[in-house]
Amino acid sequence: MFLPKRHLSRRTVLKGAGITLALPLLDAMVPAATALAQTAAAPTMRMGFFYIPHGAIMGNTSHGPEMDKWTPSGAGADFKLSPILKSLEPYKKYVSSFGNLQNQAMVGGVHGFAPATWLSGHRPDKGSVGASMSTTLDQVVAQHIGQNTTLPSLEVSSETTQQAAACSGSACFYNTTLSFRDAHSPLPMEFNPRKVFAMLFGEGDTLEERAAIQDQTRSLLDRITGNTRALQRDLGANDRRVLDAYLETVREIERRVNLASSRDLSMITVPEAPMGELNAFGDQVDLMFDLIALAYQADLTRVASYIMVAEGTNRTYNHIGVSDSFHPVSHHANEIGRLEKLVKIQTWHVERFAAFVKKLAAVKDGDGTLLDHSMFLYGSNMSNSDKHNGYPLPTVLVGGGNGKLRGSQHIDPGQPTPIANLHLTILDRINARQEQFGDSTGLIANM
Amino acid sequence: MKRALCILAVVAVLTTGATGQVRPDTAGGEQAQAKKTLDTYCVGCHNSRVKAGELALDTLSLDAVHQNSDVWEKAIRKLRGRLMPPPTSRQPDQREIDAFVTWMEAQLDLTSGGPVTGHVPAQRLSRTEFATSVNDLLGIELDATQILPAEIEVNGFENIATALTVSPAFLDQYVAGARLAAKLAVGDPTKMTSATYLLPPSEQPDHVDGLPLGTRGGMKFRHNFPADGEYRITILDLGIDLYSRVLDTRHRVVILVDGREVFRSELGGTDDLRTVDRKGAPGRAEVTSRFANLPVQVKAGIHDVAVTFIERARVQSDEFVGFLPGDEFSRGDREPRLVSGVKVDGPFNSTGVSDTPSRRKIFVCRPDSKTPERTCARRIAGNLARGAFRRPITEQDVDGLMPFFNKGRESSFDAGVEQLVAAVLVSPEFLYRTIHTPAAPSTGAIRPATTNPAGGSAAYALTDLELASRLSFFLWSQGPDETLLAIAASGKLSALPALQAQAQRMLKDPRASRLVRNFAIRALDLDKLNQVAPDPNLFPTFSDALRRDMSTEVESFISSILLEDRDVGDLLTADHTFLNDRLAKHYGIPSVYGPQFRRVTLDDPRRWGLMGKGAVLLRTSYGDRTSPVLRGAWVLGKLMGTPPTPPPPDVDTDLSQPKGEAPKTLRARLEQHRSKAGCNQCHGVIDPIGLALENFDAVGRWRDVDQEAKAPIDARTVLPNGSRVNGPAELRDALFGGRDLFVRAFTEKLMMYALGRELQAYDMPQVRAVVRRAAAQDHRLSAIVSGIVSTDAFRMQAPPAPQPGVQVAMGRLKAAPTTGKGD
Repeated sequence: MFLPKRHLSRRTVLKGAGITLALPLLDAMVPAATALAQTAAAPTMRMGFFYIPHGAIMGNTSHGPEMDKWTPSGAGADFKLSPILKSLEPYKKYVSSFGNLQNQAMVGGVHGFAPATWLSGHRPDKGSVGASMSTTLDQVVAQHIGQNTTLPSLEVSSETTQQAAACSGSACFYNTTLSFRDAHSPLPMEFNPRKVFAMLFGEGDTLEERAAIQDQTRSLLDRITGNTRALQRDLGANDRRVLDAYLETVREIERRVNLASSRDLSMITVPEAPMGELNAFGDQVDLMFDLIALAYQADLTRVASYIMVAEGTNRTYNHIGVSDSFHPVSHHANEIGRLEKLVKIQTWHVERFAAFVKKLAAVKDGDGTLLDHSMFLYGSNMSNSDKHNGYPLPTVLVGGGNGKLRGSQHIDPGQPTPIANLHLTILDRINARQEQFGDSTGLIANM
Repeated sequence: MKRALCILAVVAVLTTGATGQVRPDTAGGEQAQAKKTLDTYCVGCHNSRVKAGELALDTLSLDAVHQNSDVWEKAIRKLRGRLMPPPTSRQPDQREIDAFVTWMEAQLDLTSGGPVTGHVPAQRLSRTEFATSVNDLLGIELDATQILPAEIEVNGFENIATALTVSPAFLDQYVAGARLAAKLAVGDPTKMTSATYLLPPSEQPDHVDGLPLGTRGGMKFRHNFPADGEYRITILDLGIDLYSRVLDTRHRVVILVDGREVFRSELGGTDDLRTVDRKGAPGRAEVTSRFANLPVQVKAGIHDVAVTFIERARVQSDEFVGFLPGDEFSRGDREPRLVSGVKVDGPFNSTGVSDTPSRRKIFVCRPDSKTPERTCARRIAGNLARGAFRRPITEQDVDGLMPFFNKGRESSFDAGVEQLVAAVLVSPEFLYRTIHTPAAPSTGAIRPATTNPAGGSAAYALTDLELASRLSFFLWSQGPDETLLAIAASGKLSALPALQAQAQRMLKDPRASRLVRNFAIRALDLDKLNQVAPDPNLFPTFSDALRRDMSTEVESFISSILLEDRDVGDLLTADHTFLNDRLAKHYGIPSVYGPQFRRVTLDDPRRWGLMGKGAVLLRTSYGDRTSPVLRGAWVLGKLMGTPPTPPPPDVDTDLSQPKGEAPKTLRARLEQHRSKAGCNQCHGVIDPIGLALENFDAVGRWRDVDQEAKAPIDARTVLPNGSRVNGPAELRDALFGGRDLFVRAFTEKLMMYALGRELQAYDMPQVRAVVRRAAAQDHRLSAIVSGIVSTDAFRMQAPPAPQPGVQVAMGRLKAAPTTGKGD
C-alpha cells in the first residue's frame, strides 16, 4: 500500500515481532503540554469490547461444576480468579466478573447471530431482505463519548470474519461484525493492520499536507452530496432511501474531517506503518491490541470493538500445543481431552487481553492511569460451545471506570438475567441512561 | 368450490394464452399419478396435523400449483437431491421421483401469470467492481483488498445488492482510494511514495516462475512508479542469521526492472563472514545495509521488478549436501534468500512524468497553440466521465467537474487533471448502479421504459444504458467499454439479437476471465483455502506454496472449460488439469518438471473433474482429517444445487477416537453416528457421497489405506437413489452421468450473480428454460449466458415489494408480457 510521504527518515520505527510499543516512546508522542492531555478534573472514559467466540468451559458441561474453569468467586479480599482468568491476577481490583447472564437473541442461530447480538440483545429478523439488527452498545457509547475524536469508534478483528462455519443462511450479516450503526448498517471489522493504521493516522506528514488533503476531501465530499441529491430525483422511494443512508454516511465523514482539521496532531510522532497481516497469530492479535492502545493514548478514539478470534474459525493453536482447528474442537461432546484443549485456548486468549491491560495500567492519564479511566468488556456470546447456547455467558468487565466500577468481585444477580442489563448499566456509568437497551429488564446492582 | 372452479378456468385460459396451444390433459393421468406419489411418500409427515418441517402438503391443490410455487419449488429441489423422503422413510424409486418432478416443473413453467422478475435496489459497486472499473478506466493496477473493506457475502458472492451497505470506514477508504488512483494514474513528480512488497510465506523456491533461467529464488512484483526519477530499492532481510552459514560462500544479488538488470552486487565470502563473525549484530546490519536504498533510474509507469540471486553451480562450493542437526538455530540455510520482502521508495530528483499507458488513457488531448487549456481539460473530463458514469455526458456534467481542475491548475495542468480524475471517481454516478422507475425516467436514459400496458405496478424494461451496465458488470465486473456504450447510447442494445451479440463478443474478450475468480471460484467456495490449516505433524509436505498451487490449478482448470466455451458439465468430467512440479509430485503424477504450470492429461479417471482437485478436497477437510460430511454437503450444495439443511444446534459432532479402543476408520465412526434415526435423516444422504471420496486424504492425495486405523479405505457406498458406487469415478458417473443436474445448479448460481439478487420461485421457470435451450448447444457457457441475458429476469425490473398495509395487485392473473420467456 502506498503511503505518500515527503520525509522518509523522520519516523520512529517500531521494531520487533508484532509491534512492541516502548512506553517512554509513547509518552514522548503525547507530551503533557498539548491539548490532548487529560485534565485531572474530568478524565474521559475509554471503552473497549473484546469478543471471543465459542464460549468458555463453565459449569454446564456434563461434568458439572468441577469442570468450571471460567467462573471466579467471592468478593473483595476473597475474590478468586479462575484458571482461565489467572493472567488478570495483577489487576484483580479492576476486574468484575458476572454470572447468570444470558442472551436470548443468539439462541437458535448457532453461530450465525452470535457476534452481532453480543452488544445488541436484539434478535435479527430472518425474514428481512438485507440486514435487520439494532444499534449496538459500542455505537451507542460512541455517540455519547466518541464525538470529539477523529474516529468515534474503531472496529477491528485479528482475521477475516467471513468464515463458512459461522454464516447462518445465505447472507452473512450477523457473524461478520460486532457493530451496527443502526438496524441496517453493519460496520466492517478491519483485520489488515496497515489499513487500521491509515484509519487512525490518515495521510500527510506536515501540517500543510494534512490541511491540503482535508481541503480536497471536503470538496470531494461536497460533490458527493450534491451529485447524490441530483441522482435521487430520478429514483423511486426505496432507492432514494438507499441513497439517503449514503448521504448520512457522507455527513458523518464530513464531521470527522472537520474535527480532524481542528486538532493539532503535529505533536504526535507517527510510527512507521505496519506492513500487513502477520503470519504468527499471536503476533497478529497483539498487533491489533497495540494499535488500539496507541489510539487510546493519542486520543484518536475512545471506543474500540475487537473480534479477537473469528466466529467459526478453523484456526489451529499449534503455538500452545493444540493442533486441532478451534471450531471443530469446540464441539467437545464433553470429552475431557477436548475440554482441556479448549481451556488452554481460552486461557491463551485471556493472556493476550491481560497483556493489553498491563500496557494500559502503565500509561499515565491525568491523575491516574489509562486503566483507571477505562471499562473493557471481555467475553463471549456463547456459553457451551457444544450446545451453542446463550446461558450463562462468560463475561468480565475490567477497568477503573473513572471510579464508577467497584471491581474485585463476582456479581451474580441470582437468576438468569439478560446481558443487556449489563449493557444498560454500562450506559448508566457514562451518564447515558436509557429506559431500555435490547431485551434488558433493568440495571445490574452493585457494579 | 366456486373458487376452485374459477381458478381452474383461469388456469385453462392461461394455459392457452401463454403458449398459444392447448396442453395435454393435465387433470388426468399425470396429475393423478403425482397425487398418488405425494400421498404415499410425503403427506404422512407433511400434513396439517403433524406439520413436519412446518410444511403441510395435504391442503395444497395440485390443480393450481402456481399458487404455492415457492413450496413446490423447494419440494422438487429436495427431491432432485434425494434429500426427501429422508433415508429413514419409504423411498420411491428414481423413475417415480423423476415423473413427479417432470410433471411439477411443467406445471410451474406453464402457469406463471405471476411476477417475471424481481426488484434490485440501487447498489454500489463492490470493492472488486470498483478496483476493476478503475483499473480499466485509468490503466493502473489497484488491489481491491488493499484499499477497501471486505464485503458481506451472500452465498459466497460479493455483488448482491442488498448486502452492499456503506459504512463510514468504507466511505473513508473509498475517498482515499479515489485520490490514490488519481495520483497513480496521472503521476506526480512531487510526492514521495513508499511501497513494501512482502514475500508470500513459504520456503524459497529454487527458481521463481517468470524470472530468467539461471536465477535462484527471490521475488518479483509489479510496481507503479509515479514519475521519472531515481527510486531506492531496499531488500529488507537476506536471511543472514545467527550463525551466518549463508555467508560462507559468495553469491550475487541482482535487481531487474522489466527484465533489464539495474543492480548487481556480491554478498558473502571471506570478508563478509569476517565482519559478521567479529561484530555480531552490527556486522550483520552493515552487510545488509549494502542492499538498502539502492538507487535505480526508472521511467514513470507500471514496471516488473525482480530481486533475485544468480544461481551458482553447486560444484563451486564446498557446502554439505545434506542438513545437519543444529541447523535449527540458523534456519538450515546454506545460502542467502529473501526473507520478508522488498521496499521501493521514491521518486527522488524527479525529472517529470513521461508517457505511460495510464496517462495516454487520460490525456486524450494536450493543451497547445490550437487547443486552449480549458478546452482540453473539458475534453479530458468528458472522456473520463463518459466511461465512469456509463452514459453519454452533458455539458452540466463537465461544468460540475471543472472547479476541481481549476483548483489543481494552481499547481500545474497535470495537477488539475489529477483533481479531475479524483472527482470523477468519487461521483455517485460512478459508485452507484441504479434502475429507474417508470414514473421518473432516468437522466440520459435511452428509451425510457414502457410499462406493461396491463397495469401500473407490473414489471418494466431496463433502459439500454441500464442493460449495458448490467451486462458488463456481469461478464467483466466493470462498466461497459466504448463499443457497448455506443450501441446502448444509440438505443440499439435492447433488441434481443443485439444484446446476445454483445454478450458473445464480451465473452470472447480477455476481460471475461473475471468470471472465473469473481463467479466460479466463489460459487464453489474455493476462495478461502487459507482457512484450512493442515496439521504440519500429520502433513509435513504441505506448505503455503502448495496451497497456492492448488488455487492456481483449479482456477486454470475452470478457465480452460469456461473461457474455451466447452460444455460446462466438463467441469466435472474433463480429463485434464494444470500442474507444476510441486503439485504433480504431491498428487504422485510423474514426469512434470519445472515450476511453471502446464496442461496435463490425467490418465487416472478417478482424478478427473472438480471432485479430484486438491483445492476442493482441501476445502472440504479439517486440519487433521477428511470430512465426508463437508464433502457430501459440498457436492450436494455446489454441484447439485440441492444443499442439505444445516445441523441442529446441539448435535454431537465428536468423531475422535475414544481412548482405549482400537482406532476405527472415519467411515466406521460415521456409521456409528448414523445408527441414530435423527442423524440418519440427513446424514443418510450426505455421508455416502463424502465416503465415496475417502480415498482422497485431507490434502488431496490418493490413499488406499487409512493410516490411523491401519485399515484399507472402503469407498463403496449406496447413494440414496439406490445406485451402488465404489470410489470417485463411479460416484461421478452416478450423480452426473446426466448433465442436467449440474447445469441447472450452475445456471442458477450464474443467474444470481448476474442479477445481483437471490433467486425466487418465480425465477425458476426461466432458469429451466435457459437450461433447456443450452442443452441444444452442448451446455456451453456462451449458450447459458445467451439464455440468461434473454430472460425477463435480466431485462426487466419489478417494483419493490409493497410496504405492509398497502395492497398492490401483483398482476398474477394478467397475461405474461409479450416479450415472452423464450422457448
